[in-house]
Amino acid sequence: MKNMVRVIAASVIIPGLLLTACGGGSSSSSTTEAGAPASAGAPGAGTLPANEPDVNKDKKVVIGVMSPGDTKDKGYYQSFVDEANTYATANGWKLVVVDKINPANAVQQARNLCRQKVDMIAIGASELKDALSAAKEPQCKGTTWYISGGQGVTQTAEFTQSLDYINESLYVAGYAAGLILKENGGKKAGYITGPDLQFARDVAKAFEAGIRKVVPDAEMVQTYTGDFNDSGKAKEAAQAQISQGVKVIYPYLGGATDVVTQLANEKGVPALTPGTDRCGTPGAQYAISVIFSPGAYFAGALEDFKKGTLRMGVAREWHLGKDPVPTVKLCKPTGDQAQQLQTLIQDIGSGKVKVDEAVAAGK
Amino acid sequence: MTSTSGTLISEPPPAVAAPEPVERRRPRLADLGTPLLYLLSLSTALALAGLLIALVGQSPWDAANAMYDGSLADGAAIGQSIDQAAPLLLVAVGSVIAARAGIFNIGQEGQLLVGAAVGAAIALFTPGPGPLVLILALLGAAVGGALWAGIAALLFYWRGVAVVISTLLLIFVANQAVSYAVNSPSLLREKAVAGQVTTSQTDMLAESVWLPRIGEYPDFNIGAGIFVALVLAVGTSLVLVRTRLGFRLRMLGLNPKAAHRAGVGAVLVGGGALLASGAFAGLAGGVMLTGNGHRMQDGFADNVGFDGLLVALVARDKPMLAVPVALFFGALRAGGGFLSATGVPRYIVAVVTALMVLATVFPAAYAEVRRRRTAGAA
Repeated sequence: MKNMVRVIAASVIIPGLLLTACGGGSSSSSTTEAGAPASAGAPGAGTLPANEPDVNKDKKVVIGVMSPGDTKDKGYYQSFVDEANTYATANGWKLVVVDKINPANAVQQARNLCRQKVDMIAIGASELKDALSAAKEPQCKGTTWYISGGQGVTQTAEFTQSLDYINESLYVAGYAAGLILKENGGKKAGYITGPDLQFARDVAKAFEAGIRKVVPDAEMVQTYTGDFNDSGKAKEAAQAQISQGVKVIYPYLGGATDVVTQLANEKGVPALTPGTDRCGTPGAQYAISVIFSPGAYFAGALEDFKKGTLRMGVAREWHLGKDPVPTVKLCKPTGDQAQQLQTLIQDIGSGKVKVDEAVAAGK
Repeated sequence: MTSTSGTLISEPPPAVAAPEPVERRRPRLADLGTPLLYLLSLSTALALAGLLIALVGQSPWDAANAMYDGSLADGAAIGQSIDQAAPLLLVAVGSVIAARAGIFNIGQEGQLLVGAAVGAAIALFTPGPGPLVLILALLGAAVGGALWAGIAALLFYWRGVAVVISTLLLIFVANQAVSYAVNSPSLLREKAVAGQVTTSQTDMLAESVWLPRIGEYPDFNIGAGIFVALVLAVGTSLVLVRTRLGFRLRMLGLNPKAAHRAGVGAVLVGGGALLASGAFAGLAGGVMLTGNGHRMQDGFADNVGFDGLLVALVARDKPMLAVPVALFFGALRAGGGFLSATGVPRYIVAVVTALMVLATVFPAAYAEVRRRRTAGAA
């Protein structure tokens, strides 16, 4: 019994001692001056943190990158880090990359970065939006925040975000795939993705509508493998789809993208990229580059950050046909395919084609 | 000498009895003693971890510093370690209950997940004052975990399906079921906001349903989960050692036949122990949900169920010993999280943490294997 009493006492006393020893410590020195007010006459234009890019004035610039996916996937997530790396190297900044973050740990990982006194926390995808809640905490006060918001994260004053629209880029991706189907006489397209998520369904819907604009009676076979990075499942799905007669395939995946494309290459089925420009790159060969990589959007934010003009509390929208990205390109267009594609992109940019209505109509 | 050689027999007996031959045997790991064994395994793990980190171009010294910074360097880090320890301790105490009854429940990962999902459903959809809903959510999480473990109990006592197998396989079922729930708008998936894409997660719990925290970032701060875990660890220890129920439970674990002859109902006591084990794992999920993150996603369990099981193994099925072991494992998890935030690749962090866990588990596992061998030989 005595031993038990000792153990119980130790369990209570040790945390108590730790409390006494550590409580009341002062906050880290990573505070910053209050952000300058938004430019006059521009309500809602956010605030400009002082001293960008060295917002915490420690005479070095450190960018912390948070990514839910593998930053060596040669695709969507990697593009984000590649862009940050380019800027960091060119400007003598330090880059800290934390990838494969479980969304449940997003806040804690953001706090860990704040404790290292980073000047900017850049979040690669909206799955990690919960990390933004750390922005208001004292240890994160000297930090600017950027998120690749996709369709959008509820905007607050603490961060800036980039927005793009699935319907625009995926409808045009479908259109490009339709042009290829029309050329090779196919009526069936394949779409392989990971978990059965709402945005993955939205992507499929826009992609299918784009295909049907060119081939009205085209069918689309959809497979949800449950994992963006499981190459085995993705390859199995691709084999099944090819055996069903798909004549163009869209591996809307992460780390498993190239495996599907390599198989498609062997079988002579054209493939599309999920976010990056891979036309003419070594390895798996793509027929269509669907470019909506977060790295391209992030580059704009980093440029502003470098110039000291990146404002918090605002979102920057990227529209197909108006901005250089997002866009879609055929790697080896034939006939007037490139022209047809370009016309559609311009029509969407000018508002002549109402893409949301077209997707809703399914053609 | 037993030789039948005539020459040998005819020899006169020696004047002085020959000394008994000394039995020479190879030195065994057990001869090192437990503290030395810990020292050896931890040193080996540290050396291997350092080598791996150096191989990916990082400094082992900086990595060690980062592990320290993330787990013990300041109030926030210590708080984080304690927060990580709370669910581990709950899972471990539950594992101890089952182990003492002779049942090896290894499905805590799934029980935790189901418990958290039930807790999330209650927390999100039950109207009422926050503290009441919080208590209901935690109780619901415990009941969810218990019911999930109850499936294994049912299979075992009804059909003789090994608990190890059924609890393990039920983890996969739990993963799929919870994934379906957080992906289905009609179940737990977050509500759509105009113009935004929802992801596979629940809505954030209302702040009134969060477990209270003591202190604030960046100073020392901890969630109330650790107090829940400590109270239950102490209570379990007392029940196991000081009560008739504890005695019956231990008797069942040590000798089921004797327990049966003494009138201990295996179904009631053993099944109850398995249910209690599941309830503790479910409660751990509830504590994780209401204490940190405050919403559920795919991958929510994050190996806490398995790590908690290891805590119980290292603590040698002693609930109070599980307290410091859980704190150590919590520090490892917190330190590992911080280490990955310094740019050390995630896979290396996983290997380093796993090496440290292995080093901690090895002496206990070795001692257990040796104990069983000795018991078998006897």
